[in-house]
Amino acid sequence: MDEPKHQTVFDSDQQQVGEAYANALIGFGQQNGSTELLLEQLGGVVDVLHDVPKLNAALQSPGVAMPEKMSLLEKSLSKKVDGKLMNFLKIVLEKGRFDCLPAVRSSAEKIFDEMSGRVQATVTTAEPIDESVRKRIEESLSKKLGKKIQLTPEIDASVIGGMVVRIGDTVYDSSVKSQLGQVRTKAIKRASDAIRSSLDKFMAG
Amino acid sequence: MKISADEIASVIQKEIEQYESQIDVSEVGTVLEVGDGIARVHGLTNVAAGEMVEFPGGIIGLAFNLEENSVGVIILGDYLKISEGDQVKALGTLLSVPVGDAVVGRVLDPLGNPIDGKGPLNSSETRPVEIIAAGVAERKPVSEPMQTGLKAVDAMTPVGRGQRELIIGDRKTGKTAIGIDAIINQKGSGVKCFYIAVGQKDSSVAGVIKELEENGAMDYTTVIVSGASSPAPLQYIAPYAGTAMAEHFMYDKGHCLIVYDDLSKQAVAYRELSLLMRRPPGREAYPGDVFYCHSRLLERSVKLSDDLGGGSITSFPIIETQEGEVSAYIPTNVISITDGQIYLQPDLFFSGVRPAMNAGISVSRVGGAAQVKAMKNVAGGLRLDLASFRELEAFAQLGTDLDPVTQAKLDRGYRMVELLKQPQYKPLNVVDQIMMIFAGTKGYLDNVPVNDVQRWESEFLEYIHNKKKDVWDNLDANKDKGDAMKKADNETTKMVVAAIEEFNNSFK
Repeated sequence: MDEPKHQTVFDSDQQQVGEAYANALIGFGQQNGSTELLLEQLGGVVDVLHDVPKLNAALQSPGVAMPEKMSLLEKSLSKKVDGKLMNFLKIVLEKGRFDCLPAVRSSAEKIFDEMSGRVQATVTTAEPIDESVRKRIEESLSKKLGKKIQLTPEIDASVIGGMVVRIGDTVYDSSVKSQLGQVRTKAIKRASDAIRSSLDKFMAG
Repeated sequence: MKISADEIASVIQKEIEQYESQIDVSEVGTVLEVGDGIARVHGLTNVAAGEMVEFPGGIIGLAFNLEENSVGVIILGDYLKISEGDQVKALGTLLSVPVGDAVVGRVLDPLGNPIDGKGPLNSSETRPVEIIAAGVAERKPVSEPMQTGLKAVDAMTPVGRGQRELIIGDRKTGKTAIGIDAIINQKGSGVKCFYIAVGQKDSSVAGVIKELEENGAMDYTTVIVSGASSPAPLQYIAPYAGTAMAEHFMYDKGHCLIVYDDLSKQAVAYRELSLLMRRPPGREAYPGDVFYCHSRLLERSVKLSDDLGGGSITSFPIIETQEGEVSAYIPTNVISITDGQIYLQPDLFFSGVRPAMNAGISVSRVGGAAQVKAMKNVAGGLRLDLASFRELEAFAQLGTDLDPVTQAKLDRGYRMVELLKQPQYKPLNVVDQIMMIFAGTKGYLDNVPVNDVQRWESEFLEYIHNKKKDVWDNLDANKDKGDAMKKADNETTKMVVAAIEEFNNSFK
């Protein structure tokens, strides 16, 4: 299967299933106080599966018998992964929902962020920013919004200058690119108005 | 005249100098899938139903479906330019179209962009496309006539300003012709007209525009086109957009006439959208709210109260039936919404009765109150007489010998049918109509051969206009008086009778 072109493109059915499993995992983690560890390791597992597509294919293939899949999973991951997470993975495998694992991970991270009052955000700039600058943006945003903001820097030369901060679905755009765009539309409008009014004057006179 | 580059450069320079940097805060989402005029968008958490969204490249969309994990957006533009993963921005406003005097005489698409090649629309005002219709307290009953210029319609199913009169019939029965004639007849009356073509062939729309231009009707008419090749979302919103443009004039004490040609195609476009959006299909696969789709549109045709200036929107929605099937879903819906219908029949059309109106089942529920008094007096029983004539005619075809009374009734009927025929693009003034129908119903045509009735009509009108202008003017002045043309001893009636008799003596 082709890689999806964009990260955001998801299957909403998978997302729903993933959310249910994520809730279960978080609930389990909260009881044991090991949520953070579980999430970190789950992230590792998802990354490994992404990097080793053959393993992923074997685990999802209907042509491989369940006991074989189980032993394959155990052999490949049991040394690196906590026993509790291993059990979770086995349940997911048994239910035939291994394809939903990335969705489980993203949902679980989101739920955990929400529980601990953290908000993920991205900041896009034209040039890489210093760690200290990032920290300062993070602090001022956290103060403004009353939430703990975790900022992921991104680089996109097309913003030219300034920065674009995206928190959830809200975008705060102070980039030179968007301001140039605004100047452009306003200037075009003013200029065409000016042409039209002088034309009107000409017609009237 | 010269437009100097310096002038423009200075305008732009000023703009840049005055520019204040603002942080642009917006709500965004990402396109998950796109196709067939709709897009499914992830994100846009706080978007409202019906809110405008913007795709890259300035393509506008409308939030149509709000679901748990995604937002269904209908795309009002070229959806082929949008791709998966594109960022979508919520604009926080409702869809609106340009309105005002600038739209008059133009051919526009449903978003108000000119498509007649006559340059940009010089309009600063806009109005939201979807509004809630005026409430009970803001209306008053229909009281002024909206003359269509068609003898059959103005006499038997009179239409008042603010009325919704459905034009229904099979394909090729002259539905559009009635709407166009009504528009042409508004010349000089100050009524602004809107012809909204939905799902029509572009060639037929071009034909209509040409006719309107040739008859001088484009001076007060706006044509809104979303042809058969337009995407379904544009066909769906076209009637609402046209109504918004008309409302601007109505709330400014003006009177408007809208022809929706036709609403069955709009319903089909709405069905397409709804099915693509996975709304559950109902009867004939239309979504459950297709009734609301039409009722909220036609409710916006109103006669405003005097406090609001007394403006009005009269509408002629057109519905095309299949094989005369009026009991299909959309026809029954629209029949129940409107204030009457003009039912056109193919067999009448092909036997030469044009407009091919079936007098028996065509009605106008409120127009009688608005009919010109003199017309009401002469045409009062016409509809029922004509309906009973049709019955009698069928019976007479059995070839039995008829008694003289029945035969006379038949003869009168044949002449009335002949008299109500009217060529296309030739609307008649109501005064002319009154005299014609008076002559027919009072038996002044009984001695004219059926084949000569139309010749009689044209020659009589010529005679009245050229030689008896005083009679015409007298009737015109008295047409709104309650007893005009009612009793034989009325002054106006006497004058008309004298003129008809004088003409009849010379008619050969």
